[in-house]
Amino acid sequence: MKFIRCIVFDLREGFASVWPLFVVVIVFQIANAASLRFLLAGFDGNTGVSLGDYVLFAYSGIREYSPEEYMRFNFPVAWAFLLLLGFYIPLAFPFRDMKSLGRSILVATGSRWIWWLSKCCWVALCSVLVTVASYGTLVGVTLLFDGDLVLQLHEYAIWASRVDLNLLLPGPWSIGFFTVSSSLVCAALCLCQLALSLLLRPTIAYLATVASLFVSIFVSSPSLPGEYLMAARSMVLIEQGARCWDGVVYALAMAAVAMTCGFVLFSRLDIADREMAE
Amino acid sequence: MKRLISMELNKAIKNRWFAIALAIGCALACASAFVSISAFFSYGFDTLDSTRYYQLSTSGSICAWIGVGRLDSTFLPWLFFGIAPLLVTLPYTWSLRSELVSGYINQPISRASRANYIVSKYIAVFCSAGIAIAAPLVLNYLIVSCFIPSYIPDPGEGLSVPIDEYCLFSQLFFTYPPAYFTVIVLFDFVLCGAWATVVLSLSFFLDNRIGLLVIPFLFQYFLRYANQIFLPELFGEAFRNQFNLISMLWPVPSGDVPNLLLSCLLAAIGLTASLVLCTTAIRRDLP
Repeated sequence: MKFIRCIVFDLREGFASVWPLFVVVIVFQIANAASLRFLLAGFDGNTGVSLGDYVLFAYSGIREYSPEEYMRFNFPVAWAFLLLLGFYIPLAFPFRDMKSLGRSILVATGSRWIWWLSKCCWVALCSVLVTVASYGTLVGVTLLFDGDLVLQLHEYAIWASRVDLNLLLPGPWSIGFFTVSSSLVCAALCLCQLALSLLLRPTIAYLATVASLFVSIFVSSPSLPGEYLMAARSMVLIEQGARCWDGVVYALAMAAVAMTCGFVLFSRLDIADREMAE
Repeated sequence: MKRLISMELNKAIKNRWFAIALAIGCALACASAFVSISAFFSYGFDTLDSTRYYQLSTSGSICAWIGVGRLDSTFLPWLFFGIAPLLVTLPYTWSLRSELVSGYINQPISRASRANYIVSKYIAVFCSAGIAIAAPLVLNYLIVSCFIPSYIPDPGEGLSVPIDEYCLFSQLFFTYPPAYFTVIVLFDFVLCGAWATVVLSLSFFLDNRIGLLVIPFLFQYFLRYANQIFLPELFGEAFRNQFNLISMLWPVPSGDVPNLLLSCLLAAIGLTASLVLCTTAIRRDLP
C-alpha cells in the first residue's frame, strides 16, 4: 500500500514537471517525419511511407564506422538528439525530490527500499513513455498521410536511413522486435543514469551517458548500449548485426545491476547533506 | 569592481566543478595525444636516425593536434568537441542560479551595485568557460609537439591534407602552423565564453540547475540537426552546418566549414544579448 501511494505521488509530481519535454519529443518527431517525406518526394518507385520507415529513419543511427575504408563520417544527429532528450527527461526529478516533499514521503514510508523502487519505476516508466510518445507521433503522421500502419520497411527508406546496403539481408524487413529491445535498453540506461547520479551527481551522470552513446557511434561492440539502439546495426536489417534478444538480456541485466547498486548507494546516503549540493 | 571581479574569478577557478570539467577535457586531450603519437610511431619513425624520416608533411605536430585530428581516427576528438557545449558550462555557469535560489545573492548586491555584480559574474563565467576548452587544446598540442616533429603542411600532398582552402584560417595553417593553433584556440576560447554567458543569462528563466546546463546542450544538437536537414534545403548548401557551436569549435571534420564572419557575429550577439538580459533581469525584485 505504501509503495502504491509512493508511486502515485511520483507519477503525479514527476510528470507535472516533465510534460513540456514530451511536447518537444512530439514536435521533433513530426519534423523528422517531414524530412523523410521530403527526402523521398522525388524518389522513383516510392509507393508510400510506412510506420516502420518513419521509425527506421528516426532510430537508424549509423553503420559501423571504419576510418580505414576512408568512410565519410556522418554524425547521426537526429538519433543522438532523440536519445539525449530521452535521457534528460527522467534525470532531474528523482534527485530534486530528495530535497523537497519527497524527503517527507521517505520519512512517512519508513523504508528506503520502497522509496528507491518507486523512483526506479518512475524513471523506467518515463523512459518508456518517451518512446511511446515518439512512436505515437509517428503513428499519427502515418495515418495522416495514408501510409501503411505496419513495421515492414521499404528499400528506399532503408537507403534514406543510410543503412549499409552491402550488408543488407534479403527482404522483407520488419523492425518490430527492434522497437521493443531498443525501448528496454533506453529504460535500462536511464536506470543506470539514476544510480550513477547518486554517486556522481546528475549532470556528470548525464555526461557519462552521453559519452557512452558517443563511443557507441564510433566503436561497434556488443558491450556498448548504443549497439542495441541503432537499427542500422541490428540483425533485423544487416548480416551479423546486434541480436535483439541480446539487447533484451543486456537491458534486463543492466537494469538489475543498476537497481541493486543504486539501492546499496541510496541506503548509505546522507540525504540531509544533499541540500543545495546540486 | 576590481575586488568583485577578483572574488568571482577566484570562486570560478577554485571550485570542484571547474576541476571536474578541466579533468574530463584534459583526460580526453591526453588520450587523443597518446593515440596520435602511437599512430605516428607505427609509421616507422626512428628518433635516432633523422635521415629515415620519410613521412608526409601532414604527419607533423599541427596535424596530430586534436583540433585537426589527422592522426587520431578514434572517437576521442569527436567526443571532446561533441560534449564541449556541456563541458564549458559546467565550471561556473550555474553559480547565478544557485545564488538566486540560496539567497546568497542578497549579500553581494547589498554591498555593491547590481550592475557591477552581474558584470563580474559575467567575466568570471566567460573566463572559466574559455579556460575549460583552451587548456585541454593547449595541453594536447604540447604533448604531441614533444614527440612529433613540427613540419609545415604541404598543400600538394593531396588527400592526406586535412584542411582545405574553405576551412577557417587555412592560410595560416599552410604558412605558419603555430599561429593557426593560437588563432583557433583563441577563437574557441571566445566562442565558448560567449556560449557560457548566454547560458548564464538563462539563470533567470530556468529554475532547475540540471536543466540550465543540459537544455542549452540539447539545443545545440537541435541546431545541428536543423543545420543538417532543413537549412541546406531552405537556403542552399552554403548554410550546411553553419549555425551551431560544435561545428564552429572544430572547423575541420567532414566538410563542416563555418563562416568566420558569421561565427564572430553570433559570438558578439550572444555576448551582448546575455549581458543586456542579465543587467535587465537583475534590476527586478529578487527572491
